[in-house]
Amino acid sequence: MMNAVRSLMRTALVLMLSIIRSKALISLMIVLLVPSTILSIIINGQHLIQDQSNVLLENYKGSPIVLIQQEPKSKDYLKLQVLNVIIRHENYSVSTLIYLVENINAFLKTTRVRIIKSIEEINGSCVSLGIRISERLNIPLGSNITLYINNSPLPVKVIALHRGSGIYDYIVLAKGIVNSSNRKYYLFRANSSTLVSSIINDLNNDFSLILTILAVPTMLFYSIIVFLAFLKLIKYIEVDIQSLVNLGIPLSTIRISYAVASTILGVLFIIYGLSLGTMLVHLSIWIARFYNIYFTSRPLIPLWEMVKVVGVYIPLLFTLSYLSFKGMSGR
Amino acid sequence: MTWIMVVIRSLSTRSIALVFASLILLTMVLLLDVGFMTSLYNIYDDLIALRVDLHGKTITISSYSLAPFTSVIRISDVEKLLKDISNDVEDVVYEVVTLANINGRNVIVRGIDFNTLDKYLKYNVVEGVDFNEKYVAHAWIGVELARRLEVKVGDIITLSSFFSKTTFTLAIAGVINITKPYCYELIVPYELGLKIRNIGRDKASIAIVILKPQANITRLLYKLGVRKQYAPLLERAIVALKYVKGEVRSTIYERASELYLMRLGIHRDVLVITTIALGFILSIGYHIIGQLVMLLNRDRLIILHEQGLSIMRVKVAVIIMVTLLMLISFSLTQTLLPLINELTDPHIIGHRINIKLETSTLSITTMFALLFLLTGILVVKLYEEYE
Repeated sequence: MMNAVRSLMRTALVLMLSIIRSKALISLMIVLLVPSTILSIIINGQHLIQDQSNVLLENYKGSPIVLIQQEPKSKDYLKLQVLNVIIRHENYSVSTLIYLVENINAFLKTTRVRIIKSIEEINGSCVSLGIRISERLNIPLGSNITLYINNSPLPVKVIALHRGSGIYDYIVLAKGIVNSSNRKYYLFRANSSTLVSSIINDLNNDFSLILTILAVPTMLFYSIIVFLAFLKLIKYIEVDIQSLVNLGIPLSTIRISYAVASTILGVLFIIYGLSLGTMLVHLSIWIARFYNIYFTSRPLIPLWEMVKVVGVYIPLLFTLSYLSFKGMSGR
Repeated sequence: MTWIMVVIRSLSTRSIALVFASLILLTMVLLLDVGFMTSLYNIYDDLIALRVDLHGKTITISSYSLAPFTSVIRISDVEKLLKDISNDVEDVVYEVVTLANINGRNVIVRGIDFNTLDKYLKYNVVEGVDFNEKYVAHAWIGVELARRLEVKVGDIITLSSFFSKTTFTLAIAGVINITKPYCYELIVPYELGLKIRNIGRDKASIAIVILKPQANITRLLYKLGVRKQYAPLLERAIVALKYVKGEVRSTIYERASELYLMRLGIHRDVLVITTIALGFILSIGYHIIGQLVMLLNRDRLIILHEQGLSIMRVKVAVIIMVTLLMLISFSLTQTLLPLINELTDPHIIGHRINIKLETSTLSITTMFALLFLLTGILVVKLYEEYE
């Protein structure tokens, strides 16, 4: 067993030297450099985008914003229900949303919505209309209107009109209306960096997906050219292979040795390509300065990603070189 | 010309199959990568300038911003700009375009006056109700976006805008089948769009100037500041309004991407050169294919030469054969690209990226591929032994 391994390694070493001396080495190098350099640029590009986003988020001084979400992301929140509603007044109607809140004063304080007119205290059950709806349907304060929630009519009296930023001018605000819907929303104040980070993370995800779509086919489809380069390599070292056969080394050992030798050299070129790609990204970052575009980060491929790429390439190169030898020896 | 057929017939079928498969795969990588680069560069045009095809002659007015969703223009400035050419203008459509986030997903929200939408765009309601001013806290969603966000009519979405300090809760009133780019967007009434973008009623993001059929775009562009000799070259135009010390200056660009990337300091040529460089680097593979077709058939070709056919004729016949295969692979790949696009389904801010190849890019990449393929064939010396 040990002898077989030793013989295989010796043959591989001979073939490796033979490949290094041959003219086809340059072709193999170029063919492996192209996909690995592109892959490296893509990986570095992903890290560059990520690093720049992190720098942006770290330096972003956000102001407070009011968020409504289906999950509470703050300890200090208000529960509310948001439902579709049709408001009917005389012969006119509009479709809008109704906010059913438990603590109307806390809601007003958090959202900075102002009650601009009211006919009574709004502590108990009440219905307040957004000023735009009131204007559009010409509903004065104290009017009786019909709300249709889930197609069920509900006669109510408008006891307040409110004004606020965002959507609040267009909605109905109510307390004391019972609804069977279990869907709860949570209203809370947060820093706008929460929103900015959500926007940036989604943009990063989109870019990462696009870059992966570019990287995977480039690596896989270009394999056929690597296969052709291995075929060419065999053509160039076929005299040496013939000598090994004449020395009595079995063809199966030569085949595996050739695959081992090509894989070792291939992996070196892949690492070279990854380094070249990193260098090109750094060069581009430096050139970008002349266009007044400044990048604070200098991305480097993390070791585990390098191992991952090499790990994918080792079986790929071994299979391609083995198959190319099998194809050629078959001829 | 029978010698061409003699050479082609002498080539091994296995080698031709291998070369053809390699050509298809390499062309696929080449066109996919170059196409993606071009499409990413043109994404802004897809966002704001596609409607040119629908309306006929139009001029888009934006501010000198980083993107359409950060652009803000004053309606009075647009009116002032168009004052002298009002006889050639059919209509001006104002739109609010803004970026928002729905449950961690970025979407483009567009505020449109429903009357103009009805007048200039073809659409049909797939589910729910048609655009209606009675729906005041509602949005209409393009079919593509509805599919991605998995929302349906009646659902309530919570939308946070970077420009506004509050969350907007909106009910989905309708799912609409509409032209690009709207099918990837959330459409809201213009007034609500202004609220989400947090700008006043006298402002908009972009203005689309629809010209009368008889309007002379060359004369108009000249009036808007394009030099007379360049005006006929612009088939569509985007006017950027720069606000400098209270003054409004207009600059014309041929493409939206050119304007917005220029704002970043990146000239279009930088991206063109990068795309060409990428095409050049990937085309190196064709050199190997060219060499292999000769090396794999070397013995057969030498026999033909020994039978009296000149090396030149042998190589010319191989070149004809391989060039034909290459052209077939280019056509085949162009047919397959939309399929790959469909399978991978790449999106950015909800907008689907459609791999597009411009004629100029395609010509350059074909030229590189051909060049490397031919040099690959020509460098192989049939009679010299390998060293």
